Amino acid sequence: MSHGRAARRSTVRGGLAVAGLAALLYVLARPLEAVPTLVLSPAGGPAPTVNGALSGPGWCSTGLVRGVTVTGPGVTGSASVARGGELAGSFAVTGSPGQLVTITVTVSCSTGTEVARANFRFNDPTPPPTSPPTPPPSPTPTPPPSPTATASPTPTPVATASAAPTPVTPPPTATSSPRPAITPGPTSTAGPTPGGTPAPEPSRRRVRVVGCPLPAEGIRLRISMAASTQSDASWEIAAARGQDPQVLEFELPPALATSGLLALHLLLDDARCPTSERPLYIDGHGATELAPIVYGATTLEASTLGAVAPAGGFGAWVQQLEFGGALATRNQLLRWDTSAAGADGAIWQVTLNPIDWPEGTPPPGDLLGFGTVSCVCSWTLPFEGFAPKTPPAPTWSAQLTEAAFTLVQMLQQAPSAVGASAGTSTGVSPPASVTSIQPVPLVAGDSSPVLPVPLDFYVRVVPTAGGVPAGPPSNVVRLRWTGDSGVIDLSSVPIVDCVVQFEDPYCKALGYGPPPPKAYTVEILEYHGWIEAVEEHAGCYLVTQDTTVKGLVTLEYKAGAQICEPEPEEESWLEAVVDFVTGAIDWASTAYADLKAEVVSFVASAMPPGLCDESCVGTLLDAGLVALGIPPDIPNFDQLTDQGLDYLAERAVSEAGVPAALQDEVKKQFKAGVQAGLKEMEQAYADKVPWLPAGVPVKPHPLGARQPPYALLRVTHLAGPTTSCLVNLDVRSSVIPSPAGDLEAAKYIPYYQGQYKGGTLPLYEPAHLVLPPIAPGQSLQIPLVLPQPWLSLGHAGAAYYSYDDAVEGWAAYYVGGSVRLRADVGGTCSAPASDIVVTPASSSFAK
Amino acid sequence: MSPRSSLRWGAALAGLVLVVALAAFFVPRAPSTTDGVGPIEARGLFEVGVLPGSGWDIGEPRELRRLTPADAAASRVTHASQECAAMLDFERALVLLNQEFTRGETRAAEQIDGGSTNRVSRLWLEYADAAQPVAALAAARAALESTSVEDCLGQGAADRGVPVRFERIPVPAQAADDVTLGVRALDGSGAQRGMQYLVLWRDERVLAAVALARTGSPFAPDEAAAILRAARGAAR
Repeated sequence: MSHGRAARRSTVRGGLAVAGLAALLYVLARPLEAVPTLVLSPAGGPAPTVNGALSGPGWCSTGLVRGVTVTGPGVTGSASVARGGELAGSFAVTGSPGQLVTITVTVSCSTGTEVARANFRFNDPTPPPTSPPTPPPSPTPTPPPSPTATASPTPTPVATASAAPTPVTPPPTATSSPRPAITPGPTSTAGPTPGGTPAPEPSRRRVRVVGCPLPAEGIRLRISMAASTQSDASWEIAAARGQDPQVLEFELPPALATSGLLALHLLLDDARCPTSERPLYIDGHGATELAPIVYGATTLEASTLGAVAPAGGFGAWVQQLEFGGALATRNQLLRWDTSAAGADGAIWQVTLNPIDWPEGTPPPGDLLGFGTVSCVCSWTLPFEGFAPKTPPAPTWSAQLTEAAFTLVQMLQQAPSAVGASAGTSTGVSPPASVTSIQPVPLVAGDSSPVLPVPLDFYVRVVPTAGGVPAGPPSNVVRLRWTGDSGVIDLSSVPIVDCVVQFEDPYCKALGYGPPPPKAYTVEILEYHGWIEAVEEHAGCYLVTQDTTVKGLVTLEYKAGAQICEPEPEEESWLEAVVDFVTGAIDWASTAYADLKAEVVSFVASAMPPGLCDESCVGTLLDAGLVALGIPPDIPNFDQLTDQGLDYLAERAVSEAGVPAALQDEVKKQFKAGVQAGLKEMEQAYADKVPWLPAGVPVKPHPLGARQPPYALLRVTHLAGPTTSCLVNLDVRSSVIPSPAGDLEAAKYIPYYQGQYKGGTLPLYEPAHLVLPPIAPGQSLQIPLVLPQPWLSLGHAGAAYYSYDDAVEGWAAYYVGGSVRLRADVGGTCSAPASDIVVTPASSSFAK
Repeated sequence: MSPRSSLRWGAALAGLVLVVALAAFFVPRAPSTTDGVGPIEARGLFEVGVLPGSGWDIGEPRELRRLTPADAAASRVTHASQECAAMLDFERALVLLNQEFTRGETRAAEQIDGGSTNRVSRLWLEYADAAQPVAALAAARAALESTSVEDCLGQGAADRGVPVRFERIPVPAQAADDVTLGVRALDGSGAQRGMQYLVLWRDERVLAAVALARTGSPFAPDEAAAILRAARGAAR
């Protein structure tokens, strides 16, 4: 018996239990009746071959995506449709000058086939105009589109229909000064110069704005040459919202379209979208579809204590975390925040692969799980619940083994199907609620099958407003399961480290191979534990340069001379540990503020205008020092900062997004600024400390106060091709206790040891740095003030229940014990390299 | 294709995230080989009319991909227990063949029959040479013919909140070299809640499988055999 397609119709609308579930999962974020749209970026270019991106909303709005094809004469490409109906992909088109090629995207949806087409045009066969590196000396570029029907006062300084635009010299800092008053101007439309030689058609650009709601009108852009060594001329042009209210469209004046690097600022009269945000750098020659202008920043952190928030000085919020133990029962506390305007929640996303996709559009099958957070707050991520919420591309072996569970899955969907009488037209089970469908747990109990370790989970959030993405995605938090366990015995569970054991057949079958060649090395050059203050130097300062102070009496201060303050109150070294762990470090100390001012003044001339203002530069310095763990109030602050100059400068240019052409100069000025700032601090001490002689530069005596534990490392990028790899530096420590430790705390040792069967005890919290790029053949010296002592408190399997006991227990191991310090450097395209040093924990080591 | 039926089928696939499309359904256009397996070249569009009865909702074919390291942790199916040891071994054996897998496809169809639901799916997997499907079939035989597989299925059901136990039943319309598993699910009172047939066979470099399951009342006489034969493309 056969039936035609037309005869196929369901008699039971809600027959399948999952119909409602599908609606719940897929319909909510989908616009109804959306029209699939195809956008090519670029939509034109020079023959013979152009690569570009595909995008567009409105696909499979009422169904599920089965497949996507990209076709056309001379066209290759691929694309996917994300939840929400947004198409994303790439294409390559080959043709001849002047040719028009129609690119077709066909998406097979569960509700039918959807097709959209767009034209790509190769540039005409005429030589392109020469692009001047600087704007013409007189302001006579072709005027932007002339006003048409909109009646408005003559805009100033924006071009009118009868005059060339007047370049506007921006203020020295594009941020702290008030934005120039903008007279609403005409909407940008194409048009020739009236009464003059017809100008080349301006090039149209589109840019998405994230984190700032765009008004319906009155949007303007300021465009200027990016390099500060070039002319300060800039232009203001009007922009209009496109079909998508968060997408701006504007015409780039031809003079700028042939220029190099341009800086784009969005000018809005909205406190939520200040002009001080860093500019968008675009290439005048480049793509029609620009990278988004992003307002705000989103941060995400994880608690080192698992499901418990850091408090009372133990635990910390971090972006990289290692943990062991049972995976299925892991609950991870995370917190996030954003400065994006209007965000009231977020989408969280978890993958097993490093996240490298545009906002909210993961490749099919990449998501391990996602969910929503209904506030800007902390929330708990349950590992047990991870499951792809969208059907990933199925794997062949899973298909085969799951075939045996067909009936189980059907019974799970419709448990009430039993007993339904045959023959009734609506005798179908009601849709199962979401909670009735249990995902297969990632790990069932403790009896896991073979799992490769380490296993990295990458988490990020995308802010939303009313459920719609409304801000930049956060940084990625990496949660690494090491497979180790301090509590649960996994000795019966085979765990294979496929990074090392890539020859294991299981690992080979999964595609693990030999690691890439080692591209980096790391050396531990120095280490010292707590260095106690030496009594005779406690509270003292050293004169840093010969200084003559003339007054009623002329005083000569020689470099190296010691000037001391009255004896400070005695404090035990253990109290210092407590202070270090729990004390608040005052980053805004006046001496440090003077250092930052120096850095700012040096960097300001080198940094492109509007890229990173005063507070931004200061923040870069702060961030670098925080990463290294160097607070400004430790006695050897100058020494450590000086050691870390290269790292601080490299990190600063990387974080600020300085264009490559300007990085060397900015780094040079940054380092000069820090060095000048250190000198300024020396002067500031003399000014701020009342008993120090005025005008005599000094620095704290290195032995005048306790120095926290410290390690100096050197990372070298071995000669080889430069790659855009992510390079991580991890420093971990473990302590080898000595029975000759502090006898007073020794009573804790058996209890401590009783809780841990095997494994090692960390001494300090692990440190993790993402390194800025290092040129091949170069090294970067990195001083690290080792983070807080690792206390066995507040986590599963902890040995102590009180903070004081935990500190005492830590001390028992520190005193007399040896520290095994291990530094690992590796990343996305380098085999890991390590260095290990074992030395008494409380003493010093130097290579 | 009916939008509603396709939407429902699509919804089923989507909602069953971890369930994943069962086995693909493939019906060769011209089933003619005597062993019941259509020629590899005949794999293509699914012929609706081949399935007996009416009201079948046919899903689109889905391509299958190789495992990646990320799948190693996320795609585990079987319950880790002594009863499922054979299934776990089967799963691991499949993983070892991962690099030899070249291409594959799955396709499924569903039919509402009064108060019961039939789901049939077919899967074909192609490997680099004929040795791999031989190995896979051998591993499948060891797993499906083990005495504890019913208990393993029961544990899988319990994991999903379905309290049933499984009993073996004979599989109709099987060929001599097929690896098969037939079971029925019984609830606590002994009432049957469903039944399932799983048949695997190989054809040169291809490993093929058909899974036919039904919830509710039992199949009518010869109904399961007819669907299985149609799914395989055999005229038995």
